[in-house]
Amino acid sequence: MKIICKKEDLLLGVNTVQRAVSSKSTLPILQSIKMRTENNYLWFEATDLEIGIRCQIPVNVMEEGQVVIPAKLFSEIVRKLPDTEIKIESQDSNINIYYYSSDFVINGYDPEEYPEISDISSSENIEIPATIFKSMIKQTIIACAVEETRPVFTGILLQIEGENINLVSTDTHRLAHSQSVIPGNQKEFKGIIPSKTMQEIYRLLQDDDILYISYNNNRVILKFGSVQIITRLIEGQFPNYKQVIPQTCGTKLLINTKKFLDTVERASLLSRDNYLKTNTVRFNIENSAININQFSETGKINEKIDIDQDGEDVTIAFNAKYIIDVLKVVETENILMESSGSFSPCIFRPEDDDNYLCLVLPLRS
Amino acid sequence: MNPKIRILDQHCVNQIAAGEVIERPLSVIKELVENSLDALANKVEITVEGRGTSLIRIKDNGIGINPEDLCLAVKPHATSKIGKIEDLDSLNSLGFRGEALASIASVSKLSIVSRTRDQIAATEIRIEGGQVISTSEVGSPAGTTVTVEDLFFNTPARLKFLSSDSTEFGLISDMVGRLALARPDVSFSLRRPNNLIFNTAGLGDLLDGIASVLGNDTARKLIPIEYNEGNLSISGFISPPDFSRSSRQGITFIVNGRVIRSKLLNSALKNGYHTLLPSNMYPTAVINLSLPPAEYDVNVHPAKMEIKFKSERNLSQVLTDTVRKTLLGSRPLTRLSLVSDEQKPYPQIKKSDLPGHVKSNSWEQIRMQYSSKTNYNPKINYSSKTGINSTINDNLIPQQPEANPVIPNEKDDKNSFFQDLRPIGQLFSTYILTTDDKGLYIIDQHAAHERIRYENILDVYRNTKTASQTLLIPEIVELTLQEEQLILAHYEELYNLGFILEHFGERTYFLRGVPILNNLEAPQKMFKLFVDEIINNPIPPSSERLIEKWIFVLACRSAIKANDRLSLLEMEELLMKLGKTNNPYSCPHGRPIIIEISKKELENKFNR
Repeated sequence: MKIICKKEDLLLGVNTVQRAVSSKSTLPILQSIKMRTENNYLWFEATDLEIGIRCQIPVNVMEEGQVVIPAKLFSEIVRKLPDTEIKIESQDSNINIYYYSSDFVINGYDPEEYPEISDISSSENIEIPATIFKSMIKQTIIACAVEETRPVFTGILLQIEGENINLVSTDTHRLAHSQSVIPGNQKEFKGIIPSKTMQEIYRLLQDDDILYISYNNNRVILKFGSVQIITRLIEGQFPNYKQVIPQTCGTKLLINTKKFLDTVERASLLSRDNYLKTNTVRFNIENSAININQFSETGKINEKIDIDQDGEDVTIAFNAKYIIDVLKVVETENILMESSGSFSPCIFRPEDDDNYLCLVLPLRS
Repeated sequence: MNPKIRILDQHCVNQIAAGEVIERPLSVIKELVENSLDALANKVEITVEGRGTSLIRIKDNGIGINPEDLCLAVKPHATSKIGKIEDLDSLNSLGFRGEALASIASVSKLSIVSRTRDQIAATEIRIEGGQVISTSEVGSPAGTTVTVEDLFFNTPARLKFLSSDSTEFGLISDMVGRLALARPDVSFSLRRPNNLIFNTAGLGDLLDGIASVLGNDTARKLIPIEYNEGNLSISGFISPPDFSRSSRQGITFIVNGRVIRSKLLNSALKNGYHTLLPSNMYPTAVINLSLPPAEYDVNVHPAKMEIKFKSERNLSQVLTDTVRKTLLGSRPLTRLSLVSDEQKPYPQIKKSDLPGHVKSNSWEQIRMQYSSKTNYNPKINYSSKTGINSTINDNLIPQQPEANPVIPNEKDDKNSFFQDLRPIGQLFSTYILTTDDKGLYIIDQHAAHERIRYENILDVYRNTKTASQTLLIPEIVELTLQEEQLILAHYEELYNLGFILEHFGERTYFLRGVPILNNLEAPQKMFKLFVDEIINNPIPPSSERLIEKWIFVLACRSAIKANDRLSLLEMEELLMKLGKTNNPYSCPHGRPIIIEISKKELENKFNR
């Protein structure tokens, strides 16, 4: 392989695929990046066997070929290369990087040994604008479980039902559901995508991209711009989320999102800092106002915000983090809070937007 | 063809019964010694050959057996100790089943020589495999001598499963030691054919007995423990936290003079050391409990090693509290001994006995001095030299050895001790050096702060009700029958802790809520952990004990670490707060917080 390219292109390629490189693996070759040429493009590939990322950059190909190069060392070098024309040339598994009149040689791996990131031969293809999908990810990823004991909860459910596309996540303490419309779509699909993959998609998606999603039984491939992400699906049955979302409520509140967020964050300062670090927040809702009266060994706080109340008074406690999380991803000026009593799930949704909701389970004490 | 059902002959019955009572040579000794004690002997001599199968001889100076009763005594269910089952409630003797002699007789060659005080001659009876061979008159001092030869000669299976000589004899000496501890008023001796293993003076002083059985070194370190209330009294000795061992071997429980094994009391004792000892270490203890016989039942197993208490919960709580109070009152500081022999409180150890000053009068002393040098450690000396030296001077051991140099003090004393401490400076940014002008105290700053945080957090936890995070999708928990019973018995504790359980089906529960505490694991895993904790701990744990592992983590994370530089002001504050904790001597994991070097030790080291 022999190519000439620009440093910034090289850096872009490395940065794009690097998150898919295994940080620790018994298979050392997984800690490297594969580069191969194809019609004056250089493809970067990296995979930890769960997620695979590919991307291409334009280069001047003088000799076709492919190399596998240790990711950490290569990315550090690329970062430190001078802003000039770079020539990369491989001899057997040695990779020479030439710049000005200097060169750097890295011992690579045999490209034949690198695991193939296979394509999905599927005509099933869904098209969705990047901005929409990004915001769906942002609104649902907050409710993914962190601990690995129940894998289905560490991912986000992607469910396509005709014209509807849904992302759903839950850690059993809360549930986030975001949906959107794909006009004219007739296909059906259901699969759980690891949250790590979703993070990468979110990171790499550019706002003007169009996202193409295709899938088969156990994998999903997402293509946008010059990037392709292939991900394994999490095995297991995602709970029937429609069943747990209450359809009625006893109290309906309309609250200014920003004020509410600031209030809860201030209250959380106290409860987060206590000895047990339980981070709880209790709302007393009455007379069209939310009152928060909390104290800890370090101090106390009395907050009151006026709201539009429709329905009964209620006193309800939450893990403050869960409330803050949802308030941060809701972009409308006001947020709707629907409660059915102290011990029942509470729904938060943006004002005048039926496409998103976050269900938060209260604390019982 | 079905085998015919028949009634077993008496000999066969006896042999089967013997299997329960006489498990191994040690059981013979235990049964016979208990007979001697029941016969009011104050001197019991035990001789054992090999692993006890060739010969066991127990000689006592008790009341003896009437000649006409002697033949009856070896019959099954023959006893002079009780007459009817109600007598058990007021039982004062160790035995009552009337099985031991019969059982021993059926599996060995037995001879009993016995004379009561008003008899002129003793009577000897010889029995082999349960059959009386001969009776004759012989001369013997008052008392009874039982000789057991060829134990298990007619039950080869039992014989085959015995362990080696040394293991069996080890078990025997351990048991005799415990029996001796149970009765310090009786002189015990254990011999092999040419060798005296140990003997106790039998003067009624428990500490003296401990010195003979467990060693002088141990006796010196133990702290007395005392409790008297109602009809329960507890007395004995327990080890300070820095004198621990990795097995329960050093623990002896005695109930009304009877040596017993009890998982319940073991964990009650261990709970008394909670956070004073690492969880895998155990104290040394000799604990006497005296309570009315009606309060417990010894008739659980023929070996009578296990007993059932009527009020288990209360008893273990009292024991735990007493142990804890004693320990915290005794200022359990870890002492750093600079000079190996310095801290000996026995008066016969003079300065001339210090290394380099030993007057080598005998070969024995030279040898001992040499052997102790091999494990001489200039910094911290754990060598057994102290013990050895005092054994040499065995005849000089005073009757009233000074107990632990630290006299158990009340809480005020702990406070005043900490009030007097002032920081001198920080060492390696890790230890705080302090003094009260009587000694130098080295404090581990992380351990100290961890202890303060731990007690703070525990305090807050006690005063706040734990909230429960309800779950959107309940976890299904399947339990075993045993687990289910325990869960139901401890439902309230679990509920208070924040677990919301709902019965779903047979041994299946919905977990609808989990405690909201940071750093906790997945709900089901967490729940199982708590269930295991309840199962493993025979004493029902309080809810705070259940979550304390997580409190440890919180305390540890929020505490200052090693290599954190502290100002003098910060050190003073730390000392002040440490003094206010309930247990300023060890961190929540049981490691010591303070190490003491006394002024005297320093003076000695500098030859002043």
